[in-house]
Amino acid sequence: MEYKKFEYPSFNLYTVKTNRFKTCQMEIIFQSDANKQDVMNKTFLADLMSDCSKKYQSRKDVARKLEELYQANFYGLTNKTGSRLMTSFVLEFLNPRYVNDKDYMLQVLALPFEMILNPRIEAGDFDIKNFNVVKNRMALEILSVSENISRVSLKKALEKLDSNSPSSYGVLGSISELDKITPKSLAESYQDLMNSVCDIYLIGNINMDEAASIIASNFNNRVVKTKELANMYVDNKVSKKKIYHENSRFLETNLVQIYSLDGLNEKEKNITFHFYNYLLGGGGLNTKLYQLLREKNSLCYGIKSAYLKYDNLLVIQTSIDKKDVKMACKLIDQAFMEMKNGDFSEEDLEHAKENFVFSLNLSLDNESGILNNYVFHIMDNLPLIEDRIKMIDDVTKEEIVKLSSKIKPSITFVLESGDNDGRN
Amino acid sequence: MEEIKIKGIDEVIYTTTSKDGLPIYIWKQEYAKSFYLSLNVNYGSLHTEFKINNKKYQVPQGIAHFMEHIKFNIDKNTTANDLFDPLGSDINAFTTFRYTSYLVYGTSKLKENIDSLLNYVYTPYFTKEMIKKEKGIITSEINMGYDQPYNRLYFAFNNALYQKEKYRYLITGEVDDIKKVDLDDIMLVYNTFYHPKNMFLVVTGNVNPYEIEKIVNDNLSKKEFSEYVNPVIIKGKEPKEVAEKYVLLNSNVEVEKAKIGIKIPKKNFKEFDDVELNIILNIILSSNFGDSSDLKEELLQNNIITFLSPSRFVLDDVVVIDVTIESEILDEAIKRVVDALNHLVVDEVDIKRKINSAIATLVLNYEDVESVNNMLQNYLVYYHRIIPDLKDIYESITVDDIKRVVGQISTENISIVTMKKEEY
Repeated sequence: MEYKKFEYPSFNLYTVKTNRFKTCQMEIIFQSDANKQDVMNKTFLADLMSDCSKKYQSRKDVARKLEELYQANFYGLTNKTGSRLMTSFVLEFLNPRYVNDKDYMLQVLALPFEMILNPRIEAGDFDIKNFNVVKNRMALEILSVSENISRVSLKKALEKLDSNSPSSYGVLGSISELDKITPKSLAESYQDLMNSVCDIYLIGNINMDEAASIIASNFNNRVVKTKELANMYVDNKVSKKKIYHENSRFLETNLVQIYSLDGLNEKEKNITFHFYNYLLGGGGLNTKLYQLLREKNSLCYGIKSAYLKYDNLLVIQTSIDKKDVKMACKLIDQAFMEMKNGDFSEEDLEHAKENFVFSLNLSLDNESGILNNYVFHIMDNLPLIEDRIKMIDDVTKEEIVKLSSKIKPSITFVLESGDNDGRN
Repeated sequence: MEEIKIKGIDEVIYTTTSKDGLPIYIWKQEYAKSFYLSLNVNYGSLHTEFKINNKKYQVPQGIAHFMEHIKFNIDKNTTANDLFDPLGSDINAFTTFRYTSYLVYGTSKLKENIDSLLNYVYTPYFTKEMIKKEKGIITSEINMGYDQPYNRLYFAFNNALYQKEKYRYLITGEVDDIKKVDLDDIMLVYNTFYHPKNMFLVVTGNVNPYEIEKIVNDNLSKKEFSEYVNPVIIKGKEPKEVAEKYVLLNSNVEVEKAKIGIKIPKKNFKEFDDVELNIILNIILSSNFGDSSDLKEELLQNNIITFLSPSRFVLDDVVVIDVTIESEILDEAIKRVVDALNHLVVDEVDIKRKINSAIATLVLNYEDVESVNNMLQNYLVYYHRIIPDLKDIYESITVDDIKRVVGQISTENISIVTMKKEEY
């Protein structure tokens, strides 16, 4: 793989040339510090900007153009990583070598910039028809969240942690927040987006100099701005563990446990904590949580722990029967105690390392995996995948056990099943 | 070893049969870091009644899925995880209506991974205690399914549509079905269907096909298989009439939804084989209900729907076309979809664009090891063969073919299942 950086006055282009794939992927990422209403605005904006432009006036026109471009794919998405908001536009397209059309690369690379630079804004307002389509879609997406027990439960638990913490900001927000967005306010958000920090990432087996020149000629009229962005990591320390119960109409009870992580160093963040999480509940079917709750006590179908690196949080979630909540909490505590006591073998650690190498190698088999890692390499000095693989060997059991003292229980949230017949 | 050349895109599928009768299919991708193995059993949730030497057998609904769960055990103290954890590989399994698949995703130690997969799937270790324990876990999984509105809608729709087909039943079975599963049922299913001659292995990745063949033969030669009993699945003929025309589900959903389906006798399309029919129906549905259709744009822009997705299903006796929608004015949206099904449009320009685009992007069918493995599984389960001539098939489809298929589509046998908000 050949990594290269092209510097332009208003953006940088980072390329990865590799012959592993028949497709190419380009991601245009705008970054800003996350604030609650802005998250929702940018989610709306990304959706609307990928649905229409001055040239392609509706999703139908975009869909037809994408079919003409040999089933290229183009979409916008908003992602909140720690305290950072990233509004991205992604283009996936066939490697031009498979196409009998000498202008294909020119045409396909021009599409995202048409969509980004020429939104359907007239007299300071976004086009109302497309605006309403996206608004209705988002409203129903927001409502759909309440049909999914895991999403409802996790959202509520994170809000209990601290409703002002960026960790609790959902990219979808609420209906009342959505109602505040107007075609005019969204046009203002668009100006804000255009003034934010932007970088472009491109992967594929194409001539990157040629691609860079096409991109630069399409994206040459942005205002040059340099903004300092805040630290991506959110500090979610809490002084005392809190327990919350809420009722629901779901058939199963959902349990979420949130732990804050305090004082992890670079190696712990990037490597060691992944092993801790793997052994606790993030790995395969031999994790402590899976074995204790499912295999030995048949309490649940599955249980997982997730390490939210940029939120400095560890989250455990499972669906269980209401009567088993106490037992489940006790077993989760037991799993942490076993980790603290180093109750896992060198062999278990070796398996975790093998699996981590496997996961990283797997990332090398898809363009998104490589590009994602490269994005965080640039933004947060995350070592490249090839370098991370080399760093794994020297992680010791003692280093993992030591992490136990940096994990503090913050929230226990129980979304209890209702007393109806359970059919929701 | 036979080489099946995929026309027009320079790809090859290697195929052979092991000495014990296990068909093996291999796709070599020299740039892949990972490999993907699937050992598949032609036994799914539909196959609960069968004959062996004219003697009839019936097993509980959900037993294929139950088997998939307990198959992970190798002996009292060992599960499949214990074999794969040291290899750093990921394993999983799933059950569908038609087959069960045991999966391994790895990046190193190919031989050890293949051996472990064959060893655990071909080691029948089942006990009464194991079955009892698994009932609790599967009950939790079934209840999780009831907490998912789309899962409920899907099976309610199948119940409304089919009179005989076992697509009516949950793949997991109901809780009462699971209670009935005993050791004799499990042994009967294993001994009847888990035979190399009723299974197939698919290997995709940077592998040597001849090495795979040798590993499999060496492994299986150490195992003993009884003679294959050639079970015959008992299946009723599905009538052309739907079971129920209209079903209303009351639920605590926030977003009202519906599935509208039409059932057409398959003999109406006898000039086309299943592959051609699937392609033609896909083009018709994409053209009439996809993102590039006039109808979808109009319904979205007038807020009649917020979501619309068509699909088709070609079965032995009938063909099903269905459209899933979400809407705030569900009854009006249903009317519009039914009207569209009655007046399907054949737009020549649109159809030609879709066919040309599909031909140009056939190369993308062979991109990553997981999706190619899944595609080959689907070919073998649904069409009982690899399809090397998709390009020819696409090129042979004419606008007249499409018009003739459209001519056979009517809403005479229609079923509508709605999921509306529960009144409190």
